[in-house]
Parts: sequence; C-alpha cells; structure tokens
Amino acid sequence: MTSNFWESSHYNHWIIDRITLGQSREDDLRHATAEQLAVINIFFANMIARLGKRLGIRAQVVATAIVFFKRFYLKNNICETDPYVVVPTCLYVATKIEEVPLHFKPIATETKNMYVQDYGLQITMPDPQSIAEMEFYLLEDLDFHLIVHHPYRTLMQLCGESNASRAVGESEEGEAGEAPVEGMRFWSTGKGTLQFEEAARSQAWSVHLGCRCAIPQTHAWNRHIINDTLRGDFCLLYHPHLIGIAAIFLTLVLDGDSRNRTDETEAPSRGYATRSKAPCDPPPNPVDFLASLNVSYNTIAQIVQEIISLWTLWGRHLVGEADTDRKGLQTSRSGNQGMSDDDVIRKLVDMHRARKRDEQNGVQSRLFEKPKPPKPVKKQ
Amino acid sequence: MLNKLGEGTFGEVHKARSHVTGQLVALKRILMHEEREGIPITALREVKLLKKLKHPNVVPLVDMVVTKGAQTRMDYWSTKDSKGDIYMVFPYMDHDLAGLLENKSVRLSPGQIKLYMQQLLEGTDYLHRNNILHRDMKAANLLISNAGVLQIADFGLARPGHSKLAWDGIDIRKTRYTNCVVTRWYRPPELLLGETNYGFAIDMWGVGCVMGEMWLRRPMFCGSSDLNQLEKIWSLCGTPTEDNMPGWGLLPGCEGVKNWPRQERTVRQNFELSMLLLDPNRRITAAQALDHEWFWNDPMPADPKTYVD
Repeated sequence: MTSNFWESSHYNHWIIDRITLGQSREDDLRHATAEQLAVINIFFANMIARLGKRLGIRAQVVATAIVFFKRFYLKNNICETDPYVVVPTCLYVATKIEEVPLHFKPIATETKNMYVQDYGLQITMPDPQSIAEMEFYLLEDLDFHLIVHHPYRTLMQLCGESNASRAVGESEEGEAGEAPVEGMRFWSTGKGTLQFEEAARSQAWSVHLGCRCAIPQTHAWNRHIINDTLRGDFCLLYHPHLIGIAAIFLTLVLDGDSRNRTDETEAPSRGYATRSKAPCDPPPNPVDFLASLNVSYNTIAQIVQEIISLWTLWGRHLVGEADTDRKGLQTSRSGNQGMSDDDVIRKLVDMHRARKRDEQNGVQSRLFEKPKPPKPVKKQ
Repeated sequence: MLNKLGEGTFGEVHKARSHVTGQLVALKRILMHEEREGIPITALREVKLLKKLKHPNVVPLVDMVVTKGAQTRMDYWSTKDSKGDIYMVFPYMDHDLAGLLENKSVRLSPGQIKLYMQQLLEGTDYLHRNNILHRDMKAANLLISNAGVLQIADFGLARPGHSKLAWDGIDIRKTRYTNCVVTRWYRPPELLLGETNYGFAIDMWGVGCVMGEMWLRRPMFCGSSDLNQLEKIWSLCGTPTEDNMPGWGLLPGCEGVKNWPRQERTVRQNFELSMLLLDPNRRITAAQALDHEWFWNDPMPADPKTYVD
C-alpha cells in the first residue's frame, strides 16, 4: 500500500505543537509535576512494550499501541481514566490494525499476569468486557485515524536492505524485511543508502544504555533508540522520518568504534560502505550522507537533544527496571529520589484520589469545559 | 435517520440527513456480531482502508459517528451497559448498479455502459495500484449517482494484496487468504477451485461479470452451488486445460470436476472475455483494460455531463 505520509491522518491531524500538548495535560499537571508525568508516560510505554513482549507481538505493533496510548491521552486525563484498561486496549486495537489480531482472552489473561507478577498491582483486573468497551472510546478519541507511521521505515530506507535477513528475533526489535516504499522522499535525494554494519544498524534501534548512566556497558547495547523515543512525546511532535534520522545520527555519535572504522574508507566492506546507483562511486562519508538529506538539521538537533534529555530523565528514575539489565544498578543508586515502578503506581492512586476530591469540590476538569480539547493543529 | 436501505457484509445501511450540512448521507452501522471480540477486524479494515483512499470512483468515508450509551465520560468504565453504536458516514448515492439493472424502465446505451465500465476500471486500477484487493466486486456494490458517477463501495472484505510493496511491514508474502470471499456469482474459477494464493485478477473477474451483466441485464453466471457455478463458467469459457489454465489440476477443489466432459470455449475472444480468462495470470489487468481500444471505438463512452437519468 502506498503510504504517503504527507496525505496521512498522522501528518494532518496528529502532529501537534508543544503548546497543544501542554494544554492537553493541564489537568494532570495539577496533580503531578511535569517530571512525574513524564515518568508516568515512560512507565506506561514500558508497560505496553512488556505486555507486547509477553504476548510475542512484533515491535511495530507495540509501537502503534504506544502511539495510540499517547494520542488517547491527548484527549483524556490520566487522573480521570483508568490507564490500566487503556494499556491492554491499545495493544488489542493495534494488533487488529496491524493485521495480527489476538483475542480478548489471551490479552486479558496476560495483562492480569503482568499486573500481578511484574507490578504487584492490586486492582480490579480488566476483563474482556471492559477492554471491549474501552476499545470503543479509544477508537472514537483516535477519530478512527488508525494508520500510524513509524520511524523504522526511514531506518530501513536509509540504511539499505542488505541485512533484511537480520531481523525479527526479539519482539522489541524493529521490522526488517520491510521493502522501501515507492514514491517520493521529499527529504532525501534518494541516492545511495548508508550501509551500516550489522551491529551498528541494530544500534540505531538500540541505545547505548550505559550512556544513560554514564557507564559504558556493552551487554546493554540492545536497547533501541527508536523504541526509546516512544517513551517520550516524539511521536506526537515530530515527523517519523526526522526521528529516524535523529536515531541514525545518534548511532553515529555513540558508536565511536564504527565511526573510526569509517575513516578507513579504504575498506568499505568493513565500515559504512555506501551503495549508490553506480557501484563504483566512492563511498561517501556518513556525515556527508546525512548532510545531503533534505531535512532541517535544527529539528534533528532538537530531537537528538530531547532524546538525550529523555535518557537523562529515565536514568534518574527507576521505572521499568524489572525487565532490563539495569536491575543491578538499582543497588548502586539507592538513596536517590528517582521514582520506581511502585512509586509511579502510588502516584497514580494519589492522582485519582486528588481528582475525585477536586470533583467533589466542584473544580471542573479543563478538558471537558470545552466540548473537546483543542484539536491537533493543521486541518487539511 | 430516514429509512433502511439494505444490509451489507457486517452492517445495516440507513439513509439519513445531516443536521450540519443538510445533505443526504448513507449511514452504515457496524454490527457487533461477536460481542466477545469487540469491533470486527473487518470493520476496522474497512475504515482503515477507506480513510486512506481518495478517488472519484471509490466511495469516500465522510465521517464516523459514535452514539454513546454512557452518560458521562467520568464513569464510562464503571457502567457495563454503555455500549453505543458506530456508524460510517458516506455520501448518499441514488442507485446501485444491481438495482438499476433490475429496473426494466432503465435503458443503458452502449455509451453509458462504456462510461460505467471506464469508471469501474479507473476505480479498480486505483485500488490495485494501492495494493488493495476488493474481494467483493459485484453489481450491488457499485453505487451510481444521478449524475452518472460510479463509485465502488463496501470494503468489508477488502485486504491489502501481495506485492513487492510493503504493507506497513507485514510480510504479506507468506500470508494466505481465505478463499471464502466474493459473492458466488462473481467468484472466479481459481477461487471456486480452492486457490488461497490469489491476486488482483480475482477483482477483474468480478469486473468482467459486472460488464456482462450490463449487457445481459442479468448476472452472467447464476450458479446455485459452487459446483454448479463452475459448470456455468465452463459452459461459457470452456473447461480448464493445462493450456488455458496452467496449474489448475493442483488446486485442492478440482477433484470433483476433473472428469467433466470437455467443452470448448463457446465465445470468441473479445474485450469482455479478456477479463473472464480462466488463467488468472493471463486475465487482463485494470490498467491494461483501460487502454483497450474498446473505449476508443464508437460508440464512445457517454459524457457524464450530458447524463440525465
């Protein structure tokens, strides 16, 4: 299917600016600080990813689910809804949209298992019926805009197809095997692709976890930059291809090894070789290659900056530790005031209570004063 | 809401007038067949595809309407009986082709048939270029306005097709489809024989049937069962041989039909039958059909501007 991003609902309705984003969160911000809210967002994105892993769902589907979750909360408040139902619902709808449908039952069961085993939650577990019902509201608030564009594709386009066989392994990993889209890439010359070495490529997906805590740890390298961006608000603010390019850029910066290798351009098979239309062209320097893309580097720089601040934030808190290699870090960092999963869960309960109190005291929810929250900008 | 128009694959269709614009619209209600599985994936597919498509000969999805059961948003997850309905909103079209053909007082000139065929093929070509299999091509799913515009409707069975193009990352090459699609009278022989790895040609068979139907004023092959359907097809197009339908003997459904008396193709090659070739690989594509000289011979396709119903 030709997916023209510029005509998609994603571009026309769901790329918003920071002000709109802030407005949509006014209510929640009354009960939590911006940082806490950001941590809560990371917490839930992690939760969706973890549920996806438990169900053996591909990364792209998980990514779609996370985007749905974020879009839903542009129009709703965390403190007024039950995010523990929204989480499985987003995943459920995403599996249908991405043509890998799952039944309610396994989702509900697995959600329950996860809540109990991983989070020790003591709540009313979402049953199939509540998920079915939530699906309804979720779809409505998404305005039935169901197709989401992800940065994975940019990565595949720019980094060539040579390693298409590498791939799917882990469920958190992005999709390989995705053929380049035909059609115009307005932001690139379309000439040549960067060829990363296997390791380097997986790294564009992955983040050097160590840099979050300033300790290089090779074994933690298979976190994924793009997957990481889903923990922030990037998918609401920036075009997916820009996020993709920012991820590539970061990979080049972080992976010092492969950068050094590129300098020995004599051995293109080892470093980043470039495959261009005429194979005997000298392989361009990756820096030149990135510079040749017709994109705004101010924006890229900003995204990179924000990814780094996301890591800093993430590193300061201990959300989603259970499934990562950072568990060991927990001990070394006791005594710092970051929020852990348990703190987040407690905070959520507090927020709900506070909101209820407000309700009783007649404090109106900002979102529902107006019939609808400010529509994401740029109507067609 | 004015009156019920009919029932589709998974929804009733109602005629209604919009409060906002005053225009007539068709509302298609999404039926919840299986409460247990939430909104049917077919409905979501239809919405997803229609939101993406924009072509004068493909029915546009104007809006989605959700009627609420729940009173307030605050308590919507606490009440259990709060399910509302979901409607898809389409512009109201005056006729569907099946109804038009049944109506004895409507006469179609060859020029008009060409006009409709051209639009049908334009729409089909658009779908196929966008890698979508409609999978339910039939006269009843072709809507026609009084201004002579034809639109392809009902994407309840539509799916992204196999092709080199990626469908948002799903490795569709491995996907096998169900062969239980397409209303029987418009079902091509390869589906009747149990092929699960089919392509755009199945839609072209339907287009061919629709075209024949416009000439005959009745469906071309009104089979009473799948076997009978095949018999009717063989009687027009000849029984399959390795020559006219390579590989047919390997299809799972061919056992019962292997020993049928040989029949020769009774009709000589013409434009219509190039869409009704048994071999799906030789069947004409929408793009090729549009280039066919048939559209450039007299009588030329009628001009929709001069069209008065």
